Amino acid sequence: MKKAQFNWIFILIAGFIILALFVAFIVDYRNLSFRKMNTQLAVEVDSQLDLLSIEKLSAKINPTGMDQFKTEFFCNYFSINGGDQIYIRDKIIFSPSSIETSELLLWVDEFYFPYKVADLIYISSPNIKYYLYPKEKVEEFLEYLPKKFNSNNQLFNIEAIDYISEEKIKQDISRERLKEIKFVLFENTKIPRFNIKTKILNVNLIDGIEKGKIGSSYFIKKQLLLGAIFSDNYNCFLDKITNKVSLLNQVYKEKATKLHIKNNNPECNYQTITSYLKKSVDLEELYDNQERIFQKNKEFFMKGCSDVF
Amino acid sequence: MSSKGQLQINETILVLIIFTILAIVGLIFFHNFNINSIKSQYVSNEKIRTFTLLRTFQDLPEIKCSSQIKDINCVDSIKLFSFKKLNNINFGNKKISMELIYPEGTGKECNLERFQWDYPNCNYWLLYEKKPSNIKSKEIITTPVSLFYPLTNEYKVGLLKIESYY
Repeated sequence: MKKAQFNWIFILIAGFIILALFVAFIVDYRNLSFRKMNTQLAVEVDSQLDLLSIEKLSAKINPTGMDQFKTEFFCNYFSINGGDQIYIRDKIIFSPSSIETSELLLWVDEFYFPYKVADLIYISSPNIKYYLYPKEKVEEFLEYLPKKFNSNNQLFNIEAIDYISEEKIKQDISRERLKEIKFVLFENTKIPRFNIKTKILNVNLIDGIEKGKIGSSYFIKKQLLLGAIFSDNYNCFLDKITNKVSLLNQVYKEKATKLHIKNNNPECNYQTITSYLKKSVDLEELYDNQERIFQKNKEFFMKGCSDVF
Repeated sequence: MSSKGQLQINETILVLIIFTILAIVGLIFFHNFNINSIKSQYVSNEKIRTFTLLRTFQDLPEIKCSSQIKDINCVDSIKLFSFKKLNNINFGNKKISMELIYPEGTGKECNLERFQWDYPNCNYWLLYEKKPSNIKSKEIITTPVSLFYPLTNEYKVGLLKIESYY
């Protein structure tokens, strides 16, 4: 009797270990396959972002065979469904830090300061809605926002509102199956509680939609205002843009210096522009120089000299 | 315990040891298979990224031509001089260079310090270089580009070359 009991216990333990081993193999292989697939998808999305930046298009990304996918965006990396993080290099992607959706909405716009600095990529999803309040202060901004192809409707789920109606917003949440809402307040007001993820962004306009404050940070031009509305990592991208402007100032300063060395035409005094092309870590500081740099560059062109940019 | 019983226990232990050895060998095979599969995917992903880089590199504002802030589809030969010095983008383990192929130049490297003497007669720019300590394989892809010389307002033919190290 004791021997029979021992055999059964032994068979059970050995069987369990063998089964556990097989299950571990299968689970590990399955996880690896998913990770590989999601990494592959992220690499392809990254390539698409690069190519879309060149074409300046708006697009929808809806991977075949995926009902829902989760995209996480950081300042230098992004990942899809927990796959490997893909390094985005110098790309500037304004997007919520985490989006769980069936399709991504994407738009690319150029940022000039006064020369071309970068292509800014904006990403959101139909189930994240942005309420801009009050409507009267954002009409010019609404004109700037991208529209759907052959339509006057906004590409992104953005709505300007005159007052914050709790009832209407609850209806929107239910009708549009929203997962997140963000209130962009150009005037202070009280926001009711909703049972989904709710974010609030306070914007203080200083020079229309060209310049303003956002919390402890700031924006310059409507492109960065939209970036601040979309992005949870806005300050990091603002730093990236500032560094890029500073770098391009150096590039154009070097170019102006070199044009000056080789120039034989006394009309073309490239030294006049170099003092304005500063290296700075503050975009606000560089903002005031924009117009002067632009005018100097225009002067070169008018005099028949090679322009700097 | 009888000697028959001891023999049975010894047999069981032997079976267990053989099974464990087989399981370990299986695990090692599986691990190697996974590692190779990850490596091959890494190389395949890097190739996609390198081809995209080849397509987009010439559109970087750091080197692209422009006139009165409008982009022009060419590469500014003067901007190329400062690219390596000023740029801090990490393109991975690669070597990126630009060569003037038509009309043929002097074969000299275009160096920032020697701009005054060599430009516009030099014909090779080293733009980025990061080599790993151990190079197993290398792949080179190229594309022709239009090179603009602002001083003479001339367009020449250049070749953008990206060498990827694996």
